Amino acid sequence: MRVLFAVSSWPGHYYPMVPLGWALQAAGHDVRVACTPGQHAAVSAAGLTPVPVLDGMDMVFLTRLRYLWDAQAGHWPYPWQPLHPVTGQEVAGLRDFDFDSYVAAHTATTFGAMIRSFDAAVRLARDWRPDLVVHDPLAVEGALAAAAVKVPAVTHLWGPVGTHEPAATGLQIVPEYPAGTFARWKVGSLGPDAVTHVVDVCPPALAPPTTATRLPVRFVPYNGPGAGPPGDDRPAGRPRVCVVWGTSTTAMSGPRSFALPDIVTALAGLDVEVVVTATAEDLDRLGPLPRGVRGVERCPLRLVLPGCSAVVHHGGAGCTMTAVDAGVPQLGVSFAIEQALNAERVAAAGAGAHLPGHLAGVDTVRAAVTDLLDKPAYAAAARALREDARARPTPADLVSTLAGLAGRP
Amino acid sequence: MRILATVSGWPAHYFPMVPLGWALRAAGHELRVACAPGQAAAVRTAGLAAVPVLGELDMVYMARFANLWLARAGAWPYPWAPLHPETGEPVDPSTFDLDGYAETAKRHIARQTETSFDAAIGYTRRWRPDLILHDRLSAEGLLAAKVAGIPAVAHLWGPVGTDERAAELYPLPVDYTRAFPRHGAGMLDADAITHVVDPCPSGLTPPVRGIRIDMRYLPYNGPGAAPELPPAGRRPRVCVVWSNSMSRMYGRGAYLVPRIVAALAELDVEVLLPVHPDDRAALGELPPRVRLLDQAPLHLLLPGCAAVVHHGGAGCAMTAVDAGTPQLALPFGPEQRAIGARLAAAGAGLGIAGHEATRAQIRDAVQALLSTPRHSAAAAELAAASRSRPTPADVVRVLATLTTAT
Repeated sequence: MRVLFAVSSWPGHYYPMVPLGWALQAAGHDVRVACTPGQHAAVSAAGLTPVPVLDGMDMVFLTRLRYLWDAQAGHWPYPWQPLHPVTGQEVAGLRDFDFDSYVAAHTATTFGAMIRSFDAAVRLARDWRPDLVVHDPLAVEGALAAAAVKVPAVTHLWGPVGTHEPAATGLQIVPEYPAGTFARWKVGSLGPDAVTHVVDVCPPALAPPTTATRLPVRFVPYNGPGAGPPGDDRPAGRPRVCVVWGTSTTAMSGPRSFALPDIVTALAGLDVEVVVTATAEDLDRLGPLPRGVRGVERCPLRLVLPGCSAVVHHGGAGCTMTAVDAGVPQLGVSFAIEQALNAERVAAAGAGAHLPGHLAGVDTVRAAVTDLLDKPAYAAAARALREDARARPTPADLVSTLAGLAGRP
Repeated sequence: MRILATVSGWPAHYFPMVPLGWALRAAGHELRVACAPGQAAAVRTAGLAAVPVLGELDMVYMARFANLWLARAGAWPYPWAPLHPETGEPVDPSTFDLDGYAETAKRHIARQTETSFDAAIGYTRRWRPDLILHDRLSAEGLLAAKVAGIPAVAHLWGPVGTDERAAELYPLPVDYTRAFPRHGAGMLDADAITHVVDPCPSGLTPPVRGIRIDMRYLPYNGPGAAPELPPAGRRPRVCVVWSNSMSRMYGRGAYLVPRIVAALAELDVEVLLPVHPDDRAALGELPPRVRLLDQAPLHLLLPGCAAVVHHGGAGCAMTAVDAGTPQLALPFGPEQRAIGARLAAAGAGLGIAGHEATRAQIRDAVQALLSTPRHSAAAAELAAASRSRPTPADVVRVLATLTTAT
């Protein structure tokens, strides 16, 4: 069969789909990935075939906008202000950026790009005639393309956050569009309630809230290309703790979210070996590292975690799920609602802890990691979570389910 | 289970293993690919985890070195001089001190080979794979598996097998340093290989010893997107694809694209011509109806093509087999010659020695591919046979039966 993937402009959003792409290809099916030109390289480097025809708003802008909206709706636990979507500076007041007047001034660039992207997705689906579309929660182009050619669409979740989060969280990852948005393609409303099937990568303890039918799958980590850390795989003597930092946390959450220096200081005070993997830029900003701390540039997390006794990260779904797969207790230091939810759910399962960013200082991080290392309950819960995660059907197993859904068994 | 793959220094040797690598990962298994540092980027951009610890044996260097021996034996078939292994400049075999050069070359080859053997054995000891996959020329995987007492599975890249009669096909590397016996691993010969993944449909079956694991060839020709192309029109579309390593191995005379393009200009066809940026200048002015493209994975170009002309490389040949496209091979190396001959025997293509192929012969051969239903029928039959083979996803289950791991 032919399966069209549609992905939003952020590798972290679609890396969880990559192993399913491999599974489909390895079973002899055709896969094409509709993406923006900016994702061409990352999609090809994952071994998939990009069709770089999508367009749309910049993901950093969109994410900052979402955080600002969250804050305007009262869902912002941090003692500082979110960033201005355009300038990237903290806003002085929450009403400093008015989306409606921004749109009025930039209609052609914002909506023009969106309409071009929608058009391109529908054109691609009409030309290539997929039997099924799989898309990440933010890539509405996938849902639209599937509806336009009347084939099933499946939303591929990236972790513990679902399509229908409790209202109190204020989080909605599947965007909603005004009525009539898709009329020119003869498609009705698309949004959380239009999602009929989700690929759910989480073990039951982390199950993302959704009203859609779940297609359970095991999360197989793919964190981008790269080699493992240099040196021996096994730590010598002292426990090894990994610190991994989001590639864009600062751009999206502001300079105050750069918690790496405090985390490193906290861990350097413990009798542990520390491996920090981050972007070259973030490693530079960190400056000279204390004894016992090693920095490696952008190492795929799945290749660093074997042999680690704990991991500290920013709560991103990719880090969270990779740590679940590795069975390593984790501390999430979060700077956004979604990251906070990921970390809360892992903590509720007993496999980790959560520190909201503004509460994460040297002492609190050190205390939290000491707990993870010293209390065997964390390691036991992380192992149990890993067992549950690994008992799920593999992406290879999911292929026949998808073929059935597409009517091509 | 944990699988280690070892690969030799040439992407075309291991690209056919890539879909099996995806299949392993998608079934939840661990996979690492031990390679030379020079191959790490190509392994990573296939989506796989590279372990760049092997020695560096450049295949262009090896081919040029082998050509010098051919020339000494009077078996260099081309009307131009072979190339110096390092500089790539033409060499006059009557004055070149091959014995002196071979001293240095053999030391270099032995050193790199030892590096590979030691690294593969060492990595296997540390990472403890349950099984090792290796391409036909990556003997380090075979040796490491024998030393560790785990199963090894060879993976072919096309119709040339491990048990070929013709020595010029180099079915297996030569164990110059006698590393296999030194490690108590017997001899490096076809019998040392107990399991072979064979991606060829019957009709192209490569000669092997041991147990054959049938697999469907799935094309992976490196990263990239399909070019935007209008649908094929009234004229048949013919794709011309040429490896630029042909001239690096065999000399400038082995760049046949201008001759092929001129031959096709005499037919009423549309030509798709993906080219490497370095080769653009050599093409000069192109006839009408030639569509110049940036390089793109071949399997994305072939749908809609009525024929394909190439240098006989296994990747091109197998991709065309999968697509059911009749093919003309214009080979230079011995392996490419064998592939061209085997395709011709299966009826799905034609082969003419590259240096002898005249413009008229190329034109007539392509005309024959386009107008004789026998060729398109044979190509379609071969594609159908190929597509009915077990997929890489199926082969994962076969590999699992060879180990005790889960």
